[in-house]
Amino acid sequence: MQAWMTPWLLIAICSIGAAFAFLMRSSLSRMKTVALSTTVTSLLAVIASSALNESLPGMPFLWLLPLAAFLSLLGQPVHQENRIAWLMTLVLLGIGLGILTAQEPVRQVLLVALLGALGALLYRHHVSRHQSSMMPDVWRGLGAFLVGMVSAVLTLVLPFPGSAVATLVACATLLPLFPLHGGFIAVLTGLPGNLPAFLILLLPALGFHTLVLVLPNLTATMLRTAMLLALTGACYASLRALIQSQPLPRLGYAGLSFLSLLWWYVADTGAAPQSAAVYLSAVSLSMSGLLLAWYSIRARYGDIDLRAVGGLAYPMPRFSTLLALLGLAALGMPPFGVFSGFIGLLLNPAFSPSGSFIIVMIIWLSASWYVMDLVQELVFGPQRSDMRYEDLRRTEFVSLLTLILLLLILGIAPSPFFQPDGLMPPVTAATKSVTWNP
Amino acid sequence: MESLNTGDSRPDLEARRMELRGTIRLASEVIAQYWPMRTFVHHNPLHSLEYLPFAETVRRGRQYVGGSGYLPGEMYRRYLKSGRILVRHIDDAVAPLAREHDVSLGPCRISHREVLRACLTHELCVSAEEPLDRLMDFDPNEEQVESLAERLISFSFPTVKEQMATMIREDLAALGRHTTLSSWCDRTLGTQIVQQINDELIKWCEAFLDEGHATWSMPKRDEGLYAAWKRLAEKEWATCGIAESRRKIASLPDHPEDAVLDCLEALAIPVEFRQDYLALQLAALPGWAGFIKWRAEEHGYPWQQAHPVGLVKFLAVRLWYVRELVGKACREELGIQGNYRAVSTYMEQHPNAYFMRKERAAARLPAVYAERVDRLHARTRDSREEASALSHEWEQLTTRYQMEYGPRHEQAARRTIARRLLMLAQALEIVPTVFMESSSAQLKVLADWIDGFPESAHGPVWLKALEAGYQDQLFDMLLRAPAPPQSAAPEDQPPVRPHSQSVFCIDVRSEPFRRHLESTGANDTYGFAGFFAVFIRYRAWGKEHETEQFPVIMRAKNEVREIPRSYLDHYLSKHQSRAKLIHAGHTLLHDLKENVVTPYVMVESLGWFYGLPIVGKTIVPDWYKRMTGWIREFFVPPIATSVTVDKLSPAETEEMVGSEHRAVIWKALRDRFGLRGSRIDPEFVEALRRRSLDEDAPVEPFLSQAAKRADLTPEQLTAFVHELREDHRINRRAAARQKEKITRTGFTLEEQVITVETALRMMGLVRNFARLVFFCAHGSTTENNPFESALDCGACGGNEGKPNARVIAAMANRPPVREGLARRGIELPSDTHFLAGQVDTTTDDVQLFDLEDVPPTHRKDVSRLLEDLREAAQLTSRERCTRFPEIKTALSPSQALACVRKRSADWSQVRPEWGLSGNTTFFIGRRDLTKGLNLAGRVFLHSYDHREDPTDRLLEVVLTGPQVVAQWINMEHYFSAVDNEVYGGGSKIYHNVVGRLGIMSGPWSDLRLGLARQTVMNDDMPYHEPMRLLTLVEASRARIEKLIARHEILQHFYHNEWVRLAALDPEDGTWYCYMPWGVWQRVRTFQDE
Repeated sequence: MQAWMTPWLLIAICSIGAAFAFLMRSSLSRMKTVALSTTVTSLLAVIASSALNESLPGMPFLWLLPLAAFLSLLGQPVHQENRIAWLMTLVLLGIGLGILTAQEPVRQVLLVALLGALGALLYRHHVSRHQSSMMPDVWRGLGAFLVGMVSAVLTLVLPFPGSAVATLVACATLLPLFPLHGGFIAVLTGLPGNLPAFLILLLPALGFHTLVLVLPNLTATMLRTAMLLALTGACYASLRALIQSQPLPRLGYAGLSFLSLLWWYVADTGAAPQSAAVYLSAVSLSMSGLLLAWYSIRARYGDIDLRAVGGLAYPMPRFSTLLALLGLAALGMPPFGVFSGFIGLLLNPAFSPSGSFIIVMIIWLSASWYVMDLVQELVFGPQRSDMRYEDLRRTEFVSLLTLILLLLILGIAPSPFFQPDGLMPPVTAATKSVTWNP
Repeated sequence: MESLNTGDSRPDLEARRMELRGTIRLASEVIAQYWPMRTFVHHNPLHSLEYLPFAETVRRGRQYVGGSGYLPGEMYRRYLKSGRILVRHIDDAVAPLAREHDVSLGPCRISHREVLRACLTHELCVSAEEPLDRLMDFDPNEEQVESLAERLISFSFPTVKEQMATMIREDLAALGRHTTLSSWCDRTLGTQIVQQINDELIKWCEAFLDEGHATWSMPKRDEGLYAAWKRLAEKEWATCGIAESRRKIASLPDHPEDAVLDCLEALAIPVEFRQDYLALQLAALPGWAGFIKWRAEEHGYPWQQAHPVGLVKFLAVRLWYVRELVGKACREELGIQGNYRAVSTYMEQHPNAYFMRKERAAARLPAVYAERVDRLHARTRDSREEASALSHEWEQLTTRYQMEYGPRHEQAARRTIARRLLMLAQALEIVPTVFMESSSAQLKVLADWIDGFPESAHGPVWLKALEAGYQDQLFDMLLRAPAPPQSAAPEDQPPVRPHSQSVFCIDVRSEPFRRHLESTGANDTYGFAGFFAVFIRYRAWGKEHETEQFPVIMRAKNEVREIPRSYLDHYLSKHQSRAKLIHAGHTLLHDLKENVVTPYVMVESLGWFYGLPIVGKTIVPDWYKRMTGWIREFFVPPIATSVTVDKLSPAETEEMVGSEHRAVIWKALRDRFGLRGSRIDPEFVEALRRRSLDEDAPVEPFLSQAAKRADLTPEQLTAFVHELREDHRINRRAAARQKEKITRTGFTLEEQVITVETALRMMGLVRNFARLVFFCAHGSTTENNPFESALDCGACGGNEGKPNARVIAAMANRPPVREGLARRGIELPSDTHFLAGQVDTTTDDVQLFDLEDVPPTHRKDVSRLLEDLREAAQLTSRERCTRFPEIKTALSPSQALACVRKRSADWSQVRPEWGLSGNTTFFIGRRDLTKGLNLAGRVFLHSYDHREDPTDRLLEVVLTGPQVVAQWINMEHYFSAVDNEVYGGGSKIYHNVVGRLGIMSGPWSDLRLGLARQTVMNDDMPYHEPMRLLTLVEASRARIEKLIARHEILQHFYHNEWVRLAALDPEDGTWYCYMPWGVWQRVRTFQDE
């Protein structure tokens, strides 16, 4: 099979799946089955493509994205409110796989399409739910996506270094970088169903993929600027996460904080080693797990205040156990992927500790507070007598458990899935040995 | 701060202070005294409110301390499921609430009573909230709910505006009475002022009330809590973020009363609300406040004398924090003053803002609205915009909330009703279609009936049903008992003489032991309060402090000391020196541990040594305990002692004081002048003593000469005598005090006769004495258990009853006492010997005391009794082991004994024994009525023979003494079981001893009030079935009525339903129940019906 065919094949599979699912919309369970089948099919297609084409770019996100889509869909209850989320998961998965595998200029076109779709979805969902007033976060999100779209278009038309800057801006809207993180936060806090849990992997993965591509073209000034923004963003996100009383914004800012650290690392070292991909995948998957866990609460009790629930350890033991494990994974405890990814980054020869590392440690410590606080608020405390508790159903349980297993694999043995061999060569003079290869 | 002193005249001020003290005394009714844990006293946590009906007291308990007075409905339903409660019990209990109405639905007629019963049995009233926008899979079972909900479309529900109006009306009425300003702030603004204030008060109380636990104690404690707090708090850098806290604290009035009045003025609490308001403040920390209440009433308590504290002082400190923090929160968050008037006005003038803020703080708003409220609230706070300027926006927000969520709330409410109606159909075994086809008016009636009987109203009904279940079972047993009631005249036929007669405490734990002892042979047993009518303060040999060996509701005037037997003189000094050595070792280790520097060295050098006890106590606790006991006895062998029963004559008293003086002078001469034995002439010492006691008398020539012989100059002699008077307290006044104290020791002959007679008559043991009469006290042995005194004898003030048993046995063995008894009509045979002993309720071991006083003629009897006691102990252990949840198989007697011993020595054992858990009934009557019945260790058995009490004096004592103690024990267990978090002590796992006076959960909490969770709960169900005490009396109804009329406490008990009373009337041999309205009803059992 020709390499150029791969993106179209993957987009086609997802699009057909989405169309088929749309036709099945009268029967929710069938629709969900179609959506799940489509993700499985796309995963199989990725595997087949990689077998046929050794230099298939975008690994291992190519297989992680369908898997994440599958897991986020699996735990979803069969409810009509989720239809749009299922359809959009397939559409966005197709576009995402396309971006990972396509070459320029198709990649940029798909990027514009992705950002446009997200903006439209955000706007539509918000207007349908809250007819009266638009929340400021949504405006900021739409603004960020617009900037991203414009940047993606400018990448195609501007010469170097303008195109590099434009690409950097575009990827900063995906792999969130202060102050262009608005879109990332808005989709995590404002989109329905499983979409936040899927997008928290999709967007950073695509952003990282784009960043790695543009990394050789970035000047020292650009990298320094990015590093400063990353540190500022990480501090800002930590503070915002600390003061959030609701889980979705807290998780959104937590994600921003952790991913800003990745920006900081890449900008500081000018390299994207294999462990950077491990770190990104692990952070995204752990946050995805926490978002799914919260969604299971939201599905049961509506869009309630976090403080309205608590004391779940006794009536919902499965949920509580998995939530606690996900919390530990998210804040970087061994043996999960975030820990090994971050340690891998620190042990990389390209990295030399500097003063900014202290800020990173403070950010990490604050994360340990707000993540565990979220877990503690849900798991401990008095039970409510006026609440009917129902522990995780089988699909929800399997979905979260698989995510934890994935995080465990990323922590213990990431190499089989993040093979450095056969991938693209290093991109900067700083790290020529082990680098991420798109 | 302006003090009250400025404006008021002196008499006015005094009057106001006095009035305030009275108000605080009344306010403190809602909290119970808290006894220090070393003398744990079982008591009703709502004891001060016993003059109110039980249900009303429970309601007040909820209002003030937030405690529940009944088990959760779910637990009662589990009792129903297990058969412990039967449906007929529920029917009887619910009958008074049921109306004679019914509703016809198609072919079915549903009565009000059936609905009420279904509410109880089928969780109809559990107010599970329907989520507004649930996204779970559609459940086919929900289809019925949805379709029935559709039929309820005509039902109307309050709108947001209506809810708002109701909330404001209720909150306005509650402010000051049921809600403090600090709780109002917490509930409206989401602050944590109450927690903040509690934390501060815990900090100060913990430091101030410490009784020797802290290595560094709080300074200035002798000035009292308020003054000490002022002196130290004004040095704090920033107290709770209160601006200018140092200046504010420094300018507080000197009198705590004035400070309280100032604060109440500043908070603008209306005068008519002040009592309730102060009660709420005290109830915020019922443990610490309860301890202060107790201590303030114990004027003779050494710690109170040294560091005075009282509730006025406590409130003065607390209210200052309230005033400042409430003021700060209201100013910063709402821009209003922090007082009652301003807050009331705010609620009236800004209803929308208040409603939305409160909903937000209670987490009842959807997340999106919570965010909007936060934003609007931040504008009020940050921009300092006038609240009125934002009123419109708050109103818009409320309107939008109503529009957006109002219909969803209504739909959810309809679903809730539909779900309840379908559950009702299921409970009544009616097909749901009947409900689907009924008119909404009929459904409305049913829904209103269900609403009218909420889960919070179920408690009293469930409690009655639970009690009825037990009562049925108990009366069935009693009626089946073989012993017929006796006539009013004592029997003429002399009965067979038993081998022994043993007198046990009325404690419920004695019941199985008595039963088993009786089963071993001709051993009669009697029940009597474990202090055996001996009211004493007791000082054990080698101890510095006295214990109070009597119920806490009484007072004692006699003291008893344990002294070594006279023949041990030569051995005594050796014993004492070894004991001192051990004591010094302990002190040294303690000091090394507590010192600032030494622990660093000590851990390295001696730390490993502590590994041995840790390993021993953890792995082989029983063996370790025996081994350490053996080593202790090896170094300091125990010595035989006796107790000082008799009073000393004046001459003996004089001699005792003189001996003490002489010893002091002898030591002082040695220490001061280095004089050694041979150079100290006894006559010289005596002359010095006389000189010290009588300073007005001229110096004896002999004294001057003797001083000269000892090389003392006249100046030295004068200075030394002065030293003896001032420093060593050898003066006339001190000697008089000593003599007075010594005369309290022991009993006069008359007192001894009365004591023994009272005990024997009260339990009806006045004839047919056995050769051995055994007074068996009880104690317990546990490790690592701060609540150990709760397992000891409550009648002995939370101590073991050994001294009381020894004293009464010693008295009863004295010939002059026997002669006195004979003159009073109690003829004790010459071959009757009284013996003292003690059973360990944890290990069931029985120990006998003063065996050397047993005549040789009785050795065989003692030996036989010991054998029987051993067998009874094994059987009791076996029975007790069946009640421990982790023991699943039946144990042999020896295994059971080993098991209970291991539990006793195990320092990780949270439940060494069940203690008094399970207690239900207080039985006053002859043992014949209960003999042979397995009462499962749940009954207090007090022996009483109505034939020996023609004047009812003895019954009066039992009803107003031991019954009160039993009721306290019962209520302690009741409330600890129904709401362990509020009225109980919580889990032992988190317990920490604080100040050697109580328990905290974790490092920082209120003093935990009652019994630990592990004491009353078995997993998640109560081991102690919480029921009110049932008192059973064998006496005529008329006599009991007379006593009830005479004593207010009995009226409170029976008329307010704190205790249920039943009597076995000897006239007709029938059991009658005493109703709260003062009439007797014949007890009807299930078989009767």
